[in-house]
Amino acid sequence: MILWILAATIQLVHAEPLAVHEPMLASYPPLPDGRACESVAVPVNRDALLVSVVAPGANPANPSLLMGNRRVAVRLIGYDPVTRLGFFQTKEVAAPHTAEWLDDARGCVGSTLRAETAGGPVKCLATGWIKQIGGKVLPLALLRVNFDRAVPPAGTALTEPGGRVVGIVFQSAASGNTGYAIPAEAVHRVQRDLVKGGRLVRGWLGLVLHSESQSPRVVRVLPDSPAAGAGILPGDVLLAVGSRQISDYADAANAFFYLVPGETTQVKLLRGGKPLALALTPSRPQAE
Amino acid sequence: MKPSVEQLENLLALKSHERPEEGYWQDFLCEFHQRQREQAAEKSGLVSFYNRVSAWFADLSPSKWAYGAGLAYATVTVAFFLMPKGVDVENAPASPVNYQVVPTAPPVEQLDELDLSPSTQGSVGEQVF
Repeated sequence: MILWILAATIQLVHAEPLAVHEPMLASYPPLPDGRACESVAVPVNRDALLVSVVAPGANPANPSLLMGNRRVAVRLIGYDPVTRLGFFQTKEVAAPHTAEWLDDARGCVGSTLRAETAGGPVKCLATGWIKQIGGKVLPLALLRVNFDRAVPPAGTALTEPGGRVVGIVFQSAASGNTGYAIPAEAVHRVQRDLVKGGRLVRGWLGLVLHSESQSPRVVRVLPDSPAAGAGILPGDVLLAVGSRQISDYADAANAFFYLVPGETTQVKLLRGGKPLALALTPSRPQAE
Repeated sequence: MKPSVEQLENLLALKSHERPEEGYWQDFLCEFHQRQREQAAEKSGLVSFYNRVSAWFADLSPSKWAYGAGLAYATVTVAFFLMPKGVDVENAPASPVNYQVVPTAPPVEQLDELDLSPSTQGSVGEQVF
């Protein structure tokens, strides 16, 4: 009897925290028009760090986590208004069902994916990238996904056949079962800065481009900027930033989103009809 | 010399058996109508027209109404079929001009945030990165 009690105690002490498989829902204060603001929360690491999508107009400062019928208090790590991603942590749930994430979702276009919804997996297909909607260029490109059923709620994880998360649902498109998803690399980019400093810090180059220009041509280079220091000149046409190919202005805007201050990036240019490669190290924005 | 009574009786007997020539009364009637028409034609136009119309209406009978309606219907029908139809006119080829009106494209905006609602507005023109 004593041995049994001792064994049970040891087992209790060394047991791994229970993996949470029930759906987790991040709940934010209602929108000004009274609508509820909820998003599926997806774990991003083993430290119970969760990511969710905050609807426009919602107050991201006071989230809570719904696990089934339980409301769990969470600590806000940070919110990025550009991507509308909110990161928070909870101590009441030890090591939620940890999901593995892809580093980069760029190779997933054309692949069959799976949306992990509360009602079960939903088959879907990544059909391409959305970098501009109408006349509005997005600050970063989103993954366009066609679902077999209705578009799942915001925050729902999309996984590739290997089970790794490719991205999370951002919102549905205007019609049909098409939705937009924030790619994994954008989540990583935001997570990195929010965990470190509570907010996203974009890399600044001092390059001026014209949004209505068909080609990604440099209009001006600000003096004493990283771009001027690297030798970029007005009239240069961007061909690639890092590993991202640039074919138009929206491509450039998307590539610049991923720049990290202090991290050197290779930039390929076209100058006078000849290709040119330069090393460019973005800095923190000048206003800071 | 005065005629005797016997002579007068013979004359009266002779006159009582006297008759006009064959067709006399027919000719008399034709001549009467001819003179009547000539007299009517000599009268002034408006008065004559009014008199004739008045006389026509005064003498109107149901059969004349039927004739008039039939005549009007026939006239409208014939006019409908005989009325010249519009001729297809081929449009003249557009003459070239020295300028061209190009619809203005909406400006391309750079969104600062991922807010895809239609009312969201971004910044236009030169963008600093």
